[in-house]
Formats: sequence, C-alpha cells, structure tokens
Amino acid sequence: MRKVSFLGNYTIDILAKEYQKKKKDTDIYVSGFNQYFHEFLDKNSAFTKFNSNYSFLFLDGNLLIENFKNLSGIKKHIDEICDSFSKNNKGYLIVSNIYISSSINKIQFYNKKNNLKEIESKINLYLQKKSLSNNNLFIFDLASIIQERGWKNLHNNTTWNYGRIRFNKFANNLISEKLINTINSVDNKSKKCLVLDLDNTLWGGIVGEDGIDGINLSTDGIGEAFYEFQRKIKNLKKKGIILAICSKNNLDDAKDVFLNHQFSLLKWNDFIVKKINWEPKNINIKEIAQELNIGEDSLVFIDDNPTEREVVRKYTESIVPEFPDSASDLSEFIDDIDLKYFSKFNITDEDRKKTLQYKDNIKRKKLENSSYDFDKFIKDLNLQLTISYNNKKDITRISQLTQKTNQFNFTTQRYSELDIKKFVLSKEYHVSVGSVKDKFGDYGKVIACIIYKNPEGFFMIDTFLMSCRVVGKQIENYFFNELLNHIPKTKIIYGEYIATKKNILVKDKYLDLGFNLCENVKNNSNKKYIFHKKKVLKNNIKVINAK
Amino acid sequence: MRSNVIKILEEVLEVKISKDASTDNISVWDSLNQIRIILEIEDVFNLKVNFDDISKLTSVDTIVSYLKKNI
Repeated sequence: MRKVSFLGNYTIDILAKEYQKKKKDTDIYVSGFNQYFHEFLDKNSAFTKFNSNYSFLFLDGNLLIENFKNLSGIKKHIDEICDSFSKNNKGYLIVSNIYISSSINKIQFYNKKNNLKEIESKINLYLQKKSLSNNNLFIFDLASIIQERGWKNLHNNTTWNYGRIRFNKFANNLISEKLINTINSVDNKSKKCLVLDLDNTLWGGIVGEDGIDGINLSTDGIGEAFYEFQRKIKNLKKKGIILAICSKNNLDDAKDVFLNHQFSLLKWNDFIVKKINWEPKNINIKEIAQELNIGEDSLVFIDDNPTEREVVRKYTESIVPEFPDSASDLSEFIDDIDLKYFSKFNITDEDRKKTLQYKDNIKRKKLENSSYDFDKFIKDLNLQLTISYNNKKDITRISQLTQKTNQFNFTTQRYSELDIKKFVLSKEYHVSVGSVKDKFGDYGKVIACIIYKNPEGFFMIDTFLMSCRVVGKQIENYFFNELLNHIPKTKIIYGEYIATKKNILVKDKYLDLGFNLCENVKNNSNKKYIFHKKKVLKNNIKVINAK
Repeated sequence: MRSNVIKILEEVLEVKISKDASTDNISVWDSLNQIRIILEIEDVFNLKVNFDDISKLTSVDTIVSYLKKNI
C-alpha cells in the first residue's frame, strides 16, 4: 500500500482527510501542527518511522515571512528542510509553492523594493531551483491553483483564526484532487490513448452536412477554440499519448478534413486507429483497445454527445470525462484532461516514439495473420534483443515499466525511480532491461527483470515483466535464457506468480521458461516455482549484451 | 433540516448519529472534526459561521437552532 504523509506550518489534517476519502488504498500519516522540521531531523520521529513514499509539505507564505523575517532567512530554512529530509527519508518530498496574501498589494506597493509579491516570486523561484538539483524533490503548484480560483474563494478566515486551517471545503476538495494527480504523474501512471470523436469535438459543425469549408476550424472566432484544442492534442501525441478516432461519420468526409483543411493541425497519420463508421461506439472502443493490445481502462474517450458518452461509460471500462458546454472552454478542458490522465514527469524515448511503434505493431499483426508457420514468422521479423545490466540510464524506463505493466507481469511490484536506483546501485540486485527491434521498427526498452541475490545463496526473481506490445514473439524466453548466463549454474533460482485480475497471461509461464512448481503452494492462486532446466531455443532472435 | 444536519454529522464523523448527539456523547467529535463539520455546514447551507459561534455548535440541537436563525 502506498504511504503518503502530510506536513505543514499550518493545520493540514482536513486536507489529508479529504485526500484519504478519495484514495482509500493509501496509508496516511499526518504530522502535528508545525512539527515538520523536527519530524524530518529526528530519525526516530513518527514520521521517519512511517517511511512514506510521498511526503507533502505545505508552507504558508505569510507564516514563513512572519517567522523568518526576510528572504535570506526563508531560503536558509528551505535548504535546511531539504537537507534534513534527505538525511532520514527515502521517498519523495513534494513541497507546495508559496502564495502570499496581502490586502496592501496596491499599485504603489509594487513601486517599492522587496515587496511581498517580489519575495513570493523569489521564494518560488528558489524552490524550483532546489527541485532541479534534487531528484526526490518536487513542487506542488498551489500558487497557481490559488491564482486561478481566487484566494477569497478558497480561504476561510474563521477557521484560520480558529485553528490555523487555511482552506474551505471547496478548496480541500480541489487541492486533494490535484495532489492525487501529482502523485500519479510522479509515478508515471498515465493513461495510454486518447480516443476522439470528430464533429463538434475536433471541429465545430458536422462535416457530412456543412462540408469541409463550412466547419468551424480557423485561427479566429469560435474556430480558434477548436484550432487551439487540436494544438494541445497534438502536444499530447508528442509526449507519447496514442491518438485514435471513434466517430459516426462517412470515412471520406472525415478523412478530407485531416488531409485538406488548412487549419487542421491534426493529420490523418496522427491517429493510429480510426473507427469511422456507424457501429455503436462501445463496440468501436473495445476494438480500439484490442487492436492496440491495451486495456480498455487505458483509454480516455472524448465526445460532445452525452448519449454516446453514456453508452461508452456504461459498456466499457474507458474513462469518459464530461464535455464542456461551450467551445470556448475546450482549451481549459484539455489542460485538465492532460493533468488528470496524461501527466508525466519524465518523458522517455519510448514515449516519444510511441505512435510509430504502435503503427509498426499493426503492420506486424498483418504479417502474423498472413503467416502460417510461427517460427518462420518470428524469423522473418529479424528480431534483435539488446540487454543491458544495472545501468543508471535505464532507471526511469524500468520504473515506468513497473508502474504500467499489468498483463505480462509475474508479481506486479510497483517501483518508483528511487527504488529502481537503489536496486541498480546495490550489489544484492541484478537489474536487467531489454530493448527490442525488428524489421518494422524499434520497440524500445520493453522487458525487464529484477533479481534479488539472497545472502543465503539463492536467487529470487522479484520482478519479471514485459510490455504487451511484444507479447507472442518469444522475447521472454530468449531474454531469460540470456540472464541465466549471468547466474552461476549451481545457484537455486526461485520465481513467483502473484495473481491479479490482469496477469492471467503469465499464470503458467514459468513452466514454459524451464521452472517446476514448488509443491507447498500448489493449491493457491499464487504460485512459487524453482528453476529446473534451461530451455533449448531455436536461433530465431539475435541477442546482444550491451556494453 | 434536522435530518440534513444528522446526515452531515454522520458523513463527517462516520458514526451513527441520534437526535440528541453532542460532543459529550460522541467521542470522535473532537476539535478537528468540529471544524470539518463547520466547513460542511457552510458549504451545504451556503452561510458563513462566525468565529464566536464555532465553539457553541456542539450538538444536533444547537446546530439546528443556529441554522434556523441564520438562513
């Protein structure tokens, strides 16, 4: 279970409670009022012993100024916070940036040097600088939330005076939601695919009726709202989100807009799967998930039509957000979707190449369907597997794989980058990752294994996972056989299968890799295996050890 | 209104609330939950509770009569 701590120089218990209500699967620790510094420093404090994965520190700007008097005092305090935190704690520290409320921020006030707003921006800049040089420090942008929603709409004077409780119910609700999004993006737990309707969604009007020249899509007027919406969707594609179309439309009409409309920023080839037909949308959505070989719950579906949204919501597991009433709100709407479902702190090469990779995959499927001899199919692909070991450069990607891989994943252990870093640097762990390419293109790093070398002499496979993009090509067999070359032949190797709703694919996979089932857990759905004999494989895949 | 107040108290305190519930007979009704109750009441009934009144609203009865006077 994920552990999250809340600390602050004001009372954050109610905010923590709101967070807990939304994330029941989280273990929460709430530090006492203004106790954070002591808690960070003391290795025996309740906070340190709690051993959080994520610690939220809320600092009130007005109180900081009251306590530390000037900018240099506050900067020094921020330094001390970071140092003391990293001394005793391994998880991530997420610090809220500062908002200073002041009724004396009149126009003449800004003519004075070192006014409160100047100090506010300098503190926030300093926090940002610290986060750039500190891998486990992130900033929670509370200041922007306050600026966007308005201090008076979020702040409660009475509860502030009563018990240093800053925010009202609306604010606690909003901020706790944003905190959840923040953790999801640190974890790289984003959805994979954005599925879009066309008419009145990507452009205004109905292309089948209004014609390509009659739709609203331009750089002025209401057409600009759709233009901006498309621009932001294009940016999502650049950071690795797959785009698909699900629209009740005539194929030629729809295609015409992407190929020939001068203001359509989205092009025909930006979409990996296009379901443009008159079939029910829930069926099309299921087919999109199947073709991409991803779970339905990895799709976010956007449609202006409430009935279509309801059908997809009811009959699929996809995320279906409400659609704004006015096209003018589309830009803000897609920003929210981005933050909520697609935010990632670290974008890997694999993310950038994702559209290309999924296109290649569809070509491969066509070849697979036309090929009768499986061995010949694998050989024809000219597959090449390159494996690297305990390499710091792979940390982000391996963490991402552990967070996102559900189907081909024996133990479904979720690891942060800090966890993986610990494994990579430790002599007790053997961490390997494999990248795969074939004649159609590069899949990137798609298979990983973390093996724990027990001091008693045996080896335990802690994590063994593979992206579902390469399932069915025997990559795992070749990968595992190569790993065996790095383990002394006399050592015992254990593997474990921990059953989840999604990993039935690998239920008996260890048998296929040359393991035997251990008798003692035979009747449980979780299984433990012991390695028996290396499988003999044909020379179908070229395996390279990276230097 | 009484039933609304009881519903709010049950949601915040996560215990069954009777008509005569108060800080004297509900152990989880502590100072922090008192603030949560006030925030919830402000939100649901769209009003602002005065500082001096926070510490007086310590039972179903006092909350209901406060609301009758102020909304």
